[in-house]
Amino acid sequence: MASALTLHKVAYRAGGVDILEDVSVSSEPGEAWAIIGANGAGKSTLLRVTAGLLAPSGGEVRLGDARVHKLARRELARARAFVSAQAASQHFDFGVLELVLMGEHASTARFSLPSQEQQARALAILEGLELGALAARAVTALSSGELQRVMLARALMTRAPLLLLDEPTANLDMRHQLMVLERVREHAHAGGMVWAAVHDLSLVEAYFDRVMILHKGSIRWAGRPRDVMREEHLSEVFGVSLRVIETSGRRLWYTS
Amino acid sequence: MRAHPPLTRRMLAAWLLGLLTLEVCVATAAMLMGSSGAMLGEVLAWLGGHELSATSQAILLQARLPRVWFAAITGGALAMAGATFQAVLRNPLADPHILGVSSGAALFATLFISLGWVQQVSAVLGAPLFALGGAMVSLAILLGAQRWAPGGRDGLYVLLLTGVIFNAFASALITFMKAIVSAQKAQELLFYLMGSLSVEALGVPTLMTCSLVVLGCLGGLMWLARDLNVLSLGDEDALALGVNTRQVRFVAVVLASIGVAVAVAYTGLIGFVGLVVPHALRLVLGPDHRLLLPACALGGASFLTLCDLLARACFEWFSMTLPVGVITALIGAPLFVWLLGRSMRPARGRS
Repeated sequence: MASALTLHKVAYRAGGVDILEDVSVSSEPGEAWAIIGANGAGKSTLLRVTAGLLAPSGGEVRLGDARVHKLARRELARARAFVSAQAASQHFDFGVLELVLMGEHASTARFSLPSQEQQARALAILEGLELGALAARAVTALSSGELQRVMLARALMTRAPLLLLDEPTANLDMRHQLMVLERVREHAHAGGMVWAAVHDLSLVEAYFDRVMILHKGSIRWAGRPRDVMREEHLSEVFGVSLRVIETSGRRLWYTS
Repeated sequence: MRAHPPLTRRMLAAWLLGLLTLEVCVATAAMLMGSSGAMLGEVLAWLGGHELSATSQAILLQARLPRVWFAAITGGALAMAGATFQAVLRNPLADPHILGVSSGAALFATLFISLGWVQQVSAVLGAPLFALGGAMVSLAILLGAQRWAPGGRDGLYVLLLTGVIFNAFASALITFMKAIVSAQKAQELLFYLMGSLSVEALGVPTLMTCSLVVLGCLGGLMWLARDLNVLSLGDEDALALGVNTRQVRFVAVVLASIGVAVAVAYTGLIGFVGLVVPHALRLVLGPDHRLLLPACALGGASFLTLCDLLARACFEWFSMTLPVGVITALIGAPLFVWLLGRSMRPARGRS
């Protein structure tokens, strides 16, 4: 079961530049959060600090009662999964199935080999992301969009309640974008929690329960998409004139 | 391209048993063949209850056994170290020789020999300890270079170039030492540096110690094998999956370097074993280090024993035994060029 995620006055400073300043926000299990903002607003850094991959220069990140940066590595790995925007280029011919099974790294013993159940679960996750046919493929022979989905599959394999996703739809075609966001929403609504940096504003409205708008390293607005995603807010943050139209019950964003 | 299926206990057992059998066969052949003639008949007679002549006994136990034994240790250590460096540096072209770890070890061992501290007792312990120091120095330089190197293909160039530069630097210092020592010492150094398995002088205690050290390193690396799998995907991935990347990397390279130091301390520079063996085995077995590392130890042992058999077979034509480093380089260098070409091609299927 997931526990609440709370950031309290989180700051991150690197090379004399404040990348995050005074970020305070909390989210509850069952919520899918989108993080939006212009390039350089600090979305990726925020996700990495939250994931415990970067140590904040101030403030703290709490998952339930535990401080994320004090948790043991393996315990942390069982509590949250992180997928970066750009999967590292692969040099070794691991199979897709093998790579997904590595999601169990922190919850299995050192000398254990993958069990039938684990393999079946990995295959089911791959099927859910339309990757079933690629299970026996070498990861070096995947397209960037396929590799991105395999990395998400590995994150789901960890069974971590908290998913931290940096641009999970970046390399995907439209159909796969919707499919991935559908899986992400399912994960949250099954009692997990998701934080995802997303660029497509119309998809944010359709798939996420909450949104935080990051601007120059701080959260300017946070709340329900309908409440905080206003034309004047987004136009200011993105530096272009953004308009929204409602059509067949959905809100679509465009530049004017 | 189809990948290898996930590892099973049966695969692990079958492959390791197969490779062990191969090593036993190769080692037996290497024991029976040599410049003083094949000894199959005599050994068969001995197994049948006949006495072995004193000469044959001397050839088998004092000339061939140490050589075959040490070929196995050296080959295993170098191949295992190659596979480890490749995983940790995420660079399939990494090899203790190419990266300069071997020459670092050789440089310090040369220093040790040149300074004339080779007395009866200290030689056995001193050379490997100095070699280990040298391996660590070159390793520190490499890891430093990797820290500052950009990721991806440019990083690969930086690592390879660091190795090339360090090799050049080390060989200049070695040449310097050869120039200033006495002629007799220079001869000694020349012979040492050629990469030869003429280790007949090593006694059984030394051989046993070296075997145990290399086996210990293999054990340690096996302990880390699953972490190395994850580490070979990328640092951030490994961190996110709960691996203590800094610790695993450090312990793995130190263990691999101890293996290299043991090999280099007694045999000098034998190149490319750490490149050829892991590559060939990865093609057949897949990249899972839980199988790859012990397979490399066994496969490397067989490979170097075979190369040495070839080197000894050259006695027929040159009326001298070639240093085994010549054979491994003749096989390894063209393979390296082919692999480098392959890694420069754009990744398959990447859009």
